[in-house]
Amino acid sequence: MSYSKTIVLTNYDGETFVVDEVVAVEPQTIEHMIEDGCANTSIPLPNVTSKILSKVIEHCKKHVETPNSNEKAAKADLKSFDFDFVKADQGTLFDLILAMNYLNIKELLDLIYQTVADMIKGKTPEEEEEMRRVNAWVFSCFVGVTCLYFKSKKM
Amino acid sequence: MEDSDHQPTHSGSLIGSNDDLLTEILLRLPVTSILQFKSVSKHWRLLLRHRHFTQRYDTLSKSPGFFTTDNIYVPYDVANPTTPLFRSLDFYPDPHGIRIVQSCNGLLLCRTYRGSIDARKYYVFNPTTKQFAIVPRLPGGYEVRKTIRFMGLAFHRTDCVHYKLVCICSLESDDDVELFQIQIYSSDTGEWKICPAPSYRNHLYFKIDAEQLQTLPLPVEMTVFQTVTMYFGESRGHLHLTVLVDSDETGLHLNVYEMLGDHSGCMLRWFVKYQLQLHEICGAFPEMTCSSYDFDVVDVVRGVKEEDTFIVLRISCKLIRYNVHDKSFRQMSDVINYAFRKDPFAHHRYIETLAYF
Repeated sequence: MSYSKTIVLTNYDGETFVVDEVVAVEPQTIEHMIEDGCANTSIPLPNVTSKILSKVIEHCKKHVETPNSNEKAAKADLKSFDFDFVKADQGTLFDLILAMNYLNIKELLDLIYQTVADMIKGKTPEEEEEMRRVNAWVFSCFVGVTCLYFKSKKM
Repeated sequence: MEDSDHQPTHSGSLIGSNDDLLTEILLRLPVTSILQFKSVSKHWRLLLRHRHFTQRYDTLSKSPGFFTTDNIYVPYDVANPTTPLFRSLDFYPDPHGIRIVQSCNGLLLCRTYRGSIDARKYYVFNPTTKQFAIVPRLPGGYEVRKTIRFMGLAFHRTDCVHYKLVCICSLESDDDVELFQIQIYSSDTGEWKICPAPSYRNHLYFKIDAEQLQTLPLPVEMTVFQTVTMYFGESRGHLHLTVLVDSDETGLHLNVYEMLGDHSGCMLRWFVKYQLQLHEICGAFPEMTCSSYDFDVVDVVRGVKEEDTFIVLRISCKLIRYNVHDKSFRQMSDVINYAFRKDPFAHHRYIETLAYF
């Protein structure tokens, strides 16, 4: 595998990331941009912040560097890497979903969706009042409504 | 749930307003959360009730256990038992009590338990969503209703939101041949309809969409060897027939057949999907001596993956789960009541489904 060619990615903040081509083509969206010839100098990724982009590059690197074999150890290593990767706060996971969806990286999306689902499912509330609070909290996660009353209560 | 430092985020509202992304997250929630989150907002209620969502959700749905006729719940997985979303059939105040007749893809056909034929009602109930419907009475009054021999529910969640009931009544006839009449109820039209009356023959099946009786093929072993039919049922779209075969060559064994159908759903032939030698069971459970085979095949449950497929057996007083992949036995329950032993077919699978009818 040759690592000679590099690609420059420019993100939302105007920051640039120099990445090996083999790593950069992991996301299908970038691969298609390169194939279509619209990425001679640098690829603009205006929807992605530098924090998220460096996380995405970290993920792509790990997946390119891990030998594509059926070896149990390599598979387990990648699995534990992915598992640690999604150990993030909800805001970061939301940002990752948007970035991964935009860049079309499918394999990790599944795990992120499941992680967010596990976060919001919580426990089954027995009381109606408790249920309303959980519902309002979930609502505020996805709609962006600040609800001070619910924020002040620990769920 | 860690919430104290939660800040509503811009990305959260972007995902919240993108139905595709939101759906992907919601699909991965347990069914209790889905039911609860219907009251999060009007938007979520519409999304979670929409057929696009419920159908995708139901393809991943689980069958965690079954009910016996006296409404006792038996989980399939003893190590991780689940409690069903409903505990009793109190969805309708029937003074004579309600019992399950049949389970079909998550919907239960129920019937008034005791009481006269005139007081008897049939219900269709979704135990997951708690939705139920009272089936209109079969027309023709008492004279027709007393001849009901069979009532069955047909529901295929991916095909249609409606269900059908098939009722077989016996007709009076002059000679010895017993004649039957088939009536079909559709929740789409809300009416009963009579099908052309066929005369009685063995090995028939009723094709619901064509509303016709057709001949059911039989496995070749059933015409050659001595056989006993042990089980007939469906799982994950596969139709299974389990037969005890006594052949000189291979000894006494269980054949689990699967039906091979064509594209139109016509049944072509059976093929042997799994085979279980009886001496394997005798080896694992000495109480089942080879002189008296005190056992039943209760259920054949296919997993999403082949290694999750198992057969539920009743061996003397125990319920046993036999994994077809690694050929292992695991005990599910050691207390089986008399009614269940007498009628092992009277078990009704519990399947979570969000289907609305």
